[in-house]
Amino acid sequence: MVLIILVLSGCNQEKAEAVKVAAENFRSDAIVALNGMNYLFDQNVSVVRLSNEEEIESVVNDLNSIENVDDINSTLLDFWSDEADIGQASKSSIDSEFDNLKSQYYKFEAIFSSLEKGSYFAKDAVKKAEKYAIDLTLQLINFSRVIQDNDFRFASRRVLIIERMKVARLEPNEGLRNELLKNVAREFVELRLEEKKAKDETIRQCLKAAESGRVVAELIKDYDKMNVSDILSSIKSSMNFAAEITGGNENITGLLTKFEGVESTIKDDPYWKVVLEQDIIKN
Amino acid sequence: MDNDAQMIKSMSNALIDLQVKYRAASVTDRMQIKPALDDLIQKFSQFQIALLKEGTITTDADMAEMANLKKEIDSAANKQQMIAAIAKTAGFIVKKL
Repeated sequence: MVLIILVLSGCNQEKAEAVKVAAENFRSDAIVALNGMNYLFDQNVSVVRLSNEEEIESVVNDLNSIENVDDINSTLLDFWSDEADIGQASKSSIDSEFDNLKSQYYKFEAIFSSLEKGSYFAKDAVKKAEKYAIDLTLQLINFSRVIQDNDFRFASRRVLIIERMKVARLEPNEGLRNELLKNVAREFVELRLEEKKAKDETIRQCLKAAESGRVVAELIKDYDKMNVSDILSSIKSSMNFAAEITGGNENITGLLTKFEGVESTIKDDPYWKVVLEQDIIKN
Repeated sequence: MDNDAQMIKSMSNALIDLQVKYRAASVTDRMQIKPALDDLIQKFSQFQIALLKEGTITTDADMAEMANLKKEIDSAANKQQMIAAIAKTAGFIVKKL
């Protein structure tokens, strides 16, 4: 009996290893996508930070502007200290939300960490993990839509550009004014392109990760039917497709439409529908 | 552009314009504007997080279940190791016979 189990396990071990690698790949792609989203969300609420020199200059200007010397007191010192931290708490709460999201993908990957050692006995647990592969895949498709539908700006840099535009506009010397206006206009166009690039790259990363997740779900679904070669070929073709997504050749609208199709396929497919709606029975 | 997207855009514009005003203001004015700026940043951040939650599928219960599945697979791995050890021992005994 022991020998029979060992032979069966040996057959499954390579397949288990392949599923484990696919899950690691999914986690890795998802973390890149979530880091990209985290950056966009942070930038959207970013506040201009002063360097030490700028802070010194600001304090000097404030001190010069105070009419009553009695107003220079501990409250003022506290205000300057608090001012340096504007927006920090909000940034921390956004970062913390993304840490929670990332932990879902690490947890999903961890399910399979010892899979190849117990591939014969773990079939049921692997099957149960299928639901999470689909959930997390759909989550990433959904996130790509959230990014596409909303504006994400680099707020603090826009603030500085507006200030420079005002300074340039008020310059009395016409020649210098036009030069300053041209420079700041160029900065604005460059910033807009950077914002768009960051947004597009994040959408591509979300869809790349969704593709990796879809492959894991497919591998789990067809685990019994596929041989190692089928599994590796499936992972390879997914990686090629992922490279195309992030390579920037396909336009974002086309990609989103394609993945909306993937989402509909998953939700409408009688097999996936049952998996998505299932309540996993706790052992 | 849907309502959420419109709200994000309005909040973003308000935050940028308020920061410009804030940075140009005297210290006395900044002391009065700062609570409004703090409030706007906090509300904007919460609004963004709410967008994220709508798109979040995996619940806390799901997270716990994923941990259970890991345990199940880990114990299968231990079982596998145990069988391998038994087989090794059996092989060793066979050699000695």
